[in-house]
Amino acid sequence: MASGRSVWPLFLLLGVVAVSTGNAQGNEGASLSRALDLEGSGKCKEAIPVFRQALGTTDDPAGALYGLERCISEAGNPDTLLLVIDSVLLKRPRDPVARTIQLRTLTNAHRADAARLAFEHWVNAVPGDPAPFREYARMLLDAGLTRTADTVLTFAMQRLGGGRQVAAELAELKGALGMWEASASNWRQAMSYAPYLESSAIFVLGAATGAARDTIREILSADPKDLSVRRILAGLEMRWSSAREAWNALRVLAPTDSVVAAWLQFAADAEERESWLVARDAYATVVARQRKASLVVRTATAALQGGDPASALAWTDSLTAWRDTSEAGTMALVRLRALGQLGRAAAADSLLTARWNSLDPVTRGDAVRAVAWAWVRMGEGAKARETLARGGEESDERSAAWMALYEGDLKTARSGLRRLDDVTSDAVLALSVLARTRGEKSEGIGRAFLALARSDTAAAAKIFESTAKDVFDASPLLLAISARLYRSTSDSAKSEIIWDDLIKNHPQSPEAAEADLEWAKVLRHRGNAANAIARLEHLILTYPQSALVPQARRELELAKGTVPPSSELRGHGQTLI
Amino acid sequence: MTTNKRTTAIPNALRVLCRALAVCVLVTRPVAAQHLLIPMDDRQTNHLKAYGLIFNALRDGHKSEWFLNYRGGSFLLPDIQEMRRRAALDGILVEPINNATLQSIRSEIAANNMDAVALERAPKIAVYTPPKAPPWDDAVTLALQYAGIEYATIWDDEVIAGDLTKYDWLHLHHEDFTGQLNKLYLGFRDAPWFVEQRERGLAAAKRMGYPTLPALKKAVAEKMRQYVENGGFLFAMCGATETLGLAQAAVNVDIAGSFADGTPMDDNADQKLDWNRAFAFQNVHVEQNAFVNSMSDIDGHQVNVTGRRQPLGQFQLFGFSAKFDPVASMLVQDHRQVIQDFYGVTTSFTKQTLKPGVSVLASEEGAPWVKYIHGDYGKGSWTFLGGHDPEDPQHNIGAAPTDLSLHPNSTGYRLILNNVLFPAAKKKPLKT
Repeated sequence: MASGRSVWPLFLLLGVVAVSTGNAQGNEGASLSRALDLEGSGKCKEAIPVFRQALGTTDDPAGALYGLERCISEAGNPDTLLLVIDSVLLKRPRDPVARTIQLRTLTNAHRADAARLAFEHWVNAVPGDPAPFREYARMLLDAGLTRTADTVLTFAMQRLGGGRQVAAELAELKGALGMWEASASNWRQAMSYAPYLESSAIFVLGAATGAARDTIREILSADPKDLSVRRILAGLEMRWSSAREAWNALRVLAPTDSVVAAWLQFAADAEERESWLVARDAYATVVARQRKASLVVRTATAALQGGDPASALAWTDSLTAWRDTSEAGTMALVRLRALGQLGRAAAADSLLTARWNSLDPVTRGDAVRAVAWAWVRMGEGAKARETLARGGEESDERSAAWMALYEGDLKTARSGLRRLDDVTSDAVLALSVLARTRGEKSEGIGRAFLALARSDTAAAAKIFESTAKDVFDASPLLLAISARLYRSTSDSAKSEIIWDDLIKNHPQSPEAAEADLEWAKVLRHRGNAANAIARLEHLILTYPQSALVPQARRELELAKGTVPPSSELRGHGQTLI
Repeated sequence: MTTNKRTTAIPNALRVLCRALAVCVLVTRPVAAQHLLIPMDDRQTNHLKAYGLIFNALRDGHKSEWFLNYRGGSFLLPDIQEMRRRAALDGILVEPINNATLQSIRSEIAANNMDAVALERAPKIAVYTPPKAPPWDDAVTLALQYAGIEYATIWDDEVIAGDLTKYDWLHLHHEDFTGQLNKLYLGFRDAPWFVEQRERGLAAAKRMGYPTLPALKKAVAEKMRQYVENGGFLFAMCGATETLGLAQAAVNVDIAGSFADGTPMDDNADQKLDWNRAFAFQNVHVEQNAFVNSMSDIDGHQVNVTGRRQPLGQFQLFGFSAKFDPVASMLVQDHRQVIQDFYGVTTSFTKQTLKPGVSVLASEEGAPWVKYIHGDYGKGSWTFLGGHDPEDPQHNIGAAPTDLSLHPNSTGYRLILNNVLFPAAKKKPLKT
């Protein structure tokens, strides 16, 4: 009992302390909230005393200090803020937030000597801590004071026994100086303690050009393969080269959970950028570790979007092999589209029949249109209409118009395609041809577009070229299209013959100027500047009213070397000169 | 037969009608133009290329005229097919005019503060620039390259060998004639480009028998002084303006920090400088601290010194009497009189350090500095324009070069090109 009695006052005391501490914390929290509310409603002046009140009642002054910094800076009176900071530092000389705000305020006020002194005090208050060096160097770099930042970091290396703890700041400094090798090495080192600086590294190193890029690649791809470092390399490759190279930087990593998550993120990013085949490969790599139907669907869809229907088909097969039916409807649709793109309309039709009952009405409607479109692309109009009728779908305008075009019925195609919201490149090309000729029938034009629909570019180029003789009013346009298609198949020699023909035999057509420009571009990229210049001068002088003249002048400047080449147009400067 | 008569009668009538029409066409057809006016006001589509057109016409032996203060400082060329062709290719607006129109223009020029200056021959241009430097490093080479104006590049070896006499016009940009490499040692001592620059300079000094880089640069500056004294035209921009003056005046005093020549700067450098040898400046205070990125108090803006840097404003070109002061007038021809300022190692020139005879061509209202100055020295003349690149006001080391095809009407670059063309003018005695 005695002992029980003696315990009660202690409980009471603890209770009182707890309540009073709670009240203090409550008051502090209330003050800070009120100050933030005032600041949020634009009443910074009124918020300042409340922030100060919060500062006086708290053990963690960060929130109040940041608030005071914002509000007092807005009022443009750094001395007031510095007084507050001084009082905080008297009680808490090691407080990193107060020290940082003090340095920032002095640096922004261009009080270089006072800032240096404040920095030295901070260094002495926290021996061995890299924070003062990091913060001050970063502020100096942000202000473009690379030389002073260099001095601070050299000092840091002396005091901290090496540059490891200030590697990120050193990396940024070296990047600003164009010392790419050192910068890349420092970034690599910095990733060990600050992986969140990945995007800063990409920003800084991204400014490197030419051979420096290879040096950076070498450093970042060296063993051991670290995920953060590889993500920097991937980010740089995405900027400098291609999504494919970016993926090559990541795919070699050992598949830990975080690496697989990074692959998945990369695949989604590639999808976003419409780098479909890279997205497909990234998803495929993830699927090898995570057998999920949804991922297979994304893999197959990316393959389809990337123009690789065969691979899309293979992926749908793999899912069938797993006997996973969770994505059956979507997968069937992908498969139908893939078959259609491969020109296997009959197989698509059979698949549709086989899956008819298992598809929900919405997916079934999509599937019917996909199969009908596959028939259209085969030039089988009757079968397309039959498929649509089977599904209760009306022959849609799009299919009808394209079917008419493939059959050479230009009149119907003209009126049909004009009404569509189709903005694909094929549609734009078709409309430009149909607008150019008054003809109502042309089997050649139909065959040429059908070849394009079947992705047979070489055949399409040939047919457009031969049809140009028959469709007199659109002849130059058909020739120009043919030349473009030949060029896309890397047959520049054939393109050049057609461009020459256009310039000589159709000099009054708008395509003649285009032929000059395109020919000049090919010549310039081949290193034949003299002939490129001749072509461009011909364009400018012969077609002074052409909308292509500004482009031609730009090409002319580049061919003559009177403006910096585009490879030079990059910047990474810090210090003025 | 009736049909036949009718068919012969109609052609006869047509023939008469055609003849009448032909006569009308001949009578009413405008007389072919005899001249091409290249307007330089806001109608001009490519001001910078217009200078190239004139320069190359002069080079090919054609004559031209510069109509000072007439439509932004327009040019006149003979109406030759080749000129039209070049103008069309470069996107330059030309206006074909006949003698009557020209006469009326001349009357307008005679009645106003305008003048017609004959341009006779294309000057031979040299640009003082390190070997292998791309043309995009320097605003003048950028402008010359873009305008299609030929120039030669020279460096220390050629200057010391006396090659300056081969040229009518010499341009200097941001070279540091004090030999301190713009005091970039502290910040950039390990940067590959800086190391290369320093080693190249030291090797050149050794090759030519000078103990240090500052000694070599002083010798180069002296050669340039002699070049102007003997009748050359010198146009300098950016840091070259200030450091050329310092190097010329410091012929017998050490003004380079120990990092540059191994010996400290002379404590009494200010008192020992001989300003009689310099073109534009006097009574200058040399910056003694090797780690303060400033050479002296010549520059008003002190861009690379924290705490001293002055903000950019606008500078205004002065109007001169075209008939009485054609040289200054030529140098300020522009389609705008107020131009956005731009930084450089040396951005401006403080008024307190200018010699009394210096002509101020442009300044910032109310500021203690001026932007653009000109003067005679011996038989020649010099012009200094502060700043690095008129279209890149905050230029940084390593910044992307300016693509002048995006600035074909640049008012700042016109000032540079005025200088290129001004030595082509036929000398007229000053009327003052």
